[in-house]
Amino acid sequence: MSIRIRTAPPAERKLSWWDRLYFPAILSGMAYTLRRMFKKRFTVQYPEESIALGPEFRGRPVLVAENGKERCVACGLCARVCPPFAIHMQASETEDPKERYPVIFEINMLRCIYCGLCEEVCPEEAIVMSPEYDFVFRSREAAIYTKERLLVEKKDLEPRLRWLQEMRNPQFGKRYRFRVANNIHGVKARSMVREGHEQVA
Amino acid sequence: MPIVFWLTLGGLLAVFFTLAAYATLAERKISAYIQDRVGPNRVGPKGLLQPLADVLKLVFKEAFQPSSTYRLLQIAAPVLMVALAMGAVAILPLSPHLRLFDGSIGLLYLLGVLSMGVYGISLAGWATGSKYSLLGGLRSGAQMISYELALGLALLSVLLLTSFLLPDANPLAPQAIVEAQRQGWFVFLNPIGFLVYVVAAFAETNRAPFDLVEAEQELVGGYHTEYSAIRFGAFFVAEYMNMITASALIATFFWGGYLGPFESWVGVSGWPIVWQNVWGVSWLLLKTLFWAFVFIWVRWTLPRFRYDQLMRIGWKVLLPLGIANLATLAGILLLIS
Repeated sequence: MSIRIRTAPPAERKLSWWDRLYFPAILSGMAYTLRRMFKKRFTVQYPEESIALGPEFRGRPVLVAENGKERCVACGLCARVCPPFAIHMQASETEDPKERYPVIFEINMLRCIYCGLCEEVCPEEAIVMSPEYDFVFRSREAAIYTKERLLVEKKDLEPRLRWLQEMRNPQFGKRYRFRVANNIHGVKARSMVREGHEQVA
Repeated sequence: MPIVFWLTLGGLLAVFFTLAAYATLAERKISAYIQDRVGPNRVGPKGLLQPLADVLKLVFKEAFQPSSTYRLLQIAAPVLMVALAMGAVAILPLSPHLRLFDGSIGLLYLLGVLSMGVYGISLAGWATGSKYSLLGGLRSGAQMISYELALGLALLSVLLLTSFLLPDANPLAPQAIVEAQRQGWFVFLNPIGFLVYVVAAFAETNRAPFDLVEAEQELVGGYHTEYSAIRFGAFFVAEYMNMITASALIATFFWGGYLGPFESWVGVSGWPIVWQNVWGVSWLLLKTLFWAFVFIWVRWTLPRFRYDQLMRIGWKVLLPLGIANLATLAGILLLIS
């Protein structure tokens, strides 16, 4: 444990006679910038154009709807795990086979940090991150998205759902072993899962 | 004749102001292209109305003055800058038959106006009462003195060539300098002088790589740190006017001014005077635009010089080079005659 102290920087490089003329170097630099002027530009003219987002992009969280009804069974795990407490829900009974459903399901979009933990923790794949990211609201009240605004039909979320099934912890539903990859948003763990490793160092 | 004079003056000013305004757009566009970006493209078709929007914005902003300023001088500085920037254009010969002044002392007047330019900057730096601005103003003073000499020496070599090629003409008149280039442009006859002049011109206009006067990263904008609204706009316009002027002067002194290539082959001197004027003005404009492009191009290519490097280049490289060039040229001309 020693503190590294930067000593005086090395003395200036000795320039050759050719370099000391400056002009050859300046001209080559100018030739380079001139060539750059005719290169392809990367700018995306945003409101008119947009970039293609892959399934791994985490936009606003939405509730998956099958035939207009949410998959959610109102277990409350997402609300429990949400770091900024953005999710609020109230459960009730239903005649459906799933027996429970959320009467109220609200996400405060001013609080949401797009971490994706709700999606990761959900046992029903009922809440997922959609690719939608450009939305605005003009008041704090409008920023609280109710269940009606959160419901998105399943077919619109297929890429993300497929991606989740590929990436999701393979030990899900078995006896939990802590040393095994279990973080689908971690780049390292994700690549190890993809390559078939079980053990994460 | 007076009508022609006023028309020329009006036309020159109109073109000059338009060029200065669009130089700002050109700077932003070219810098964007060099950096793989698109640049302003929202105001008007392809962003062509951007300068108008910028001016409107500057006019309607609050002209703020810190309490530590010398009020009158702080207001006077940008006015002085714009006036001097316009003054230098007066001597430009636009075509064989079109010029504002006969300019028997044209070059002396030009040197005077160019060195006055430092007053605007120094005054602004001092009158604002801000440390950064003062530093910018002082730097400007030192830089101007260092590079004025090299500029003068390069111009002297031009005078030498002019008086050798046209012994009867008054070499101080810019018209004579252009006419002397009918045989060959001075870039080819006097390449070292051309290089010295171009480098000194970049320093005189306070543009990169010699923009230590403004040096955003060190001086927070330098002399115009405490300026806002249209007073800042005046500095801005003056800077681009200086750039256009410097381009036009480079074109006049070294690139044959209003002379086009193959002039005698095309037979321009036999044309009606109006067409000769159009021909001359277009060539001058074309060369000016090219050099304005080079000014912008260099700014987005080269990093800023360190202050000691700037001084070293001015005093230990450009000045001896200018003197040596002048002496060599004089010797060669003496041998030939």
